[in-house]
Amino acid sequence: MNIHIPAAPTGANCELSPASSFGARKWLATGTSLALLIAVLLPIRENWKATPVDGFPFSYFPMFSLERGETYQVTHLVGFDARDQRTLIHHSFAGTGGFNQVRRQIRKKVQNGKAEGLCRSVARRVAASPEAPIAGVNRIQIVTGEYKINEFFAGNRAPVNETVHANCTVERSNP
Amino acid sequence: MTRWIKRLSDYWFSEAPAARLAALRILIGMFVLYYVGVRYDMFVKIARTDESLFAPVGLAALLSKPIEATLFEALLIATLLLNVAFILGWKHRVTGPLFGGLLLWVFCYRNSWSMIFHNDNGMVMQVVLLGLTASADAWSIDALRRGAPAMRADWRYGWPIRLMCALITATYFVSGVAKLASHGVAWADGNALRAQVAVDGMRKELLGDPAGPLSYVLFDEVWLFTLMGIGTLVLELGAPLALLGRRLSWFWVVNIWLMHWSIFFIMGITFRYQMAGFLFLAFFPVERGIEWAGSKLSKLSLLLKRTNPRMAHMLAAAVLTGATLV
Repeated sequence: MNIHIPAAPTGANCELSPASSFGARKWLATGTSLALLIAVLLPIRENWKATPVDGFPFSYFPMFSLERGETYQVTHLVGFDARDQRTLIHHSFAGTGGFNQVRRQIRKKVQNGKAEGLCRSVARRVAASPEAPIAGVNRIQIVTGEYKINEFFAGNRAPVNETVHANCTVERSNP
Repeated sequence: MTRWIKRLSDYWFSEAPAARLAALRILIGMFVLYYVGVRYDMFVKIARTDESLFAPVGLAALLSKPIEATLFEALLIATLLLNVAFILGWKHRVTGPLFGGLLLWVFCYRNSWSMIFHNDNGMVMQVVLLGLTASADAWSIDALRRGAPAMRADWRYGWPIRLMCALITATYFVSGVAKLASHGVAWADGNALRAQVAVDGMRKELLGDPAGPLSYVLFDEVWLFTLMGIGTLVLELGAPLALLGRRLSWFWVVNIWLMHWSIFFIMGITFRYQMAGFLFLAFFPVERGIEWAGSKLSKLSLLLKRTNPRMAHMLAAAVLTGATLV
């Protein structure tokens, strides 16, 4: 569809287009306007569905509207060194596309029973990374930790519950 | 009834200069070229993601499985080339809709890997609209080749701008309704917003990124979240009112723009298109800014040529180098 509607140049000695044609063009513009506005507004219905579905480019913009409890679960990557010291592993070791995309992909892989494969893939990337503190990490875990939101922000980073989905060693060629 | 329809029609089809729509095409086109260009490698890597994570949305929902990464890369290159044609206004009747369609497809595909990025919606919709309408009737290669006199102000340049503004306000309204639907008016007390800030900060820290710069500082200031909650709901649900008048629209734009910057400072979330102001350009006579800058530059160049021709050449070289680097 092309709704390019040409206009007459300034000073051009031309008549206005016939009224019917002129009207048709405005109807086309009206139809396009209405169609796009309805398409943007229609996802509002998702708010009242049992299983709302988000879309692109027409979304119901749920990002700041979700109910949050006192605790929250995050699935993430943890590394351990030779002394069993815990280090958080950056999401970029698990995938690409930005923080939120990788976060969701980690969760989805765990839900799909692919935590072991993800763990091995992260371990391979960690093995190739010379940067501290990653260079000292010799074991990776994929975990889901449940944290108390208020306590976390008060400085207590210990999870109230933690489930380990996968555990794998980091194999370096030059130990 | 007929009187209302006429008033609505006069409002929707009010005239605007061809240069305004053209300025939007050029400015938004340049932003998209930068935005997609710097993400080229990331987009290509995303197209090589594990197939099991493919959750197609929008146009990509027509696919039952991901396309070959090399095909995606070819389409991405085509999108960037068409982007240049879009900025220059070259064969716009063909390249405009093609660019809009391809950009929509690329972003649908990019958002089909388990995460939808809501900050890109407005940008893509605006490009599609500019690609489909007469946005290259001025300040374009097409206009130069035609050699026709400058286009007069016309409703054909006005309605796409009206629609862009209406679409922007509609998206914020939809976002406001989502908040009301989930929490009711209680969303405005700030607790939901505070919880969201906390959850976002927690996710970031546990996945190796720092939380938003102000999230820890402000977390205990519940009253501030209440203020922000009320402000956000008023701005989002009241967004359609911004269509009622120029001053009201500018007031709304400034406040919603500040809201995005607040989100950035508190949560570290960068809505680049919104924060840079490009989403809201349709609310302003942007062509005047470009004309003003152009006239100042040409005056400066003339002055320099008279007084110091060598300096004029150096300035021209610096401007060209700067533009190339940008």
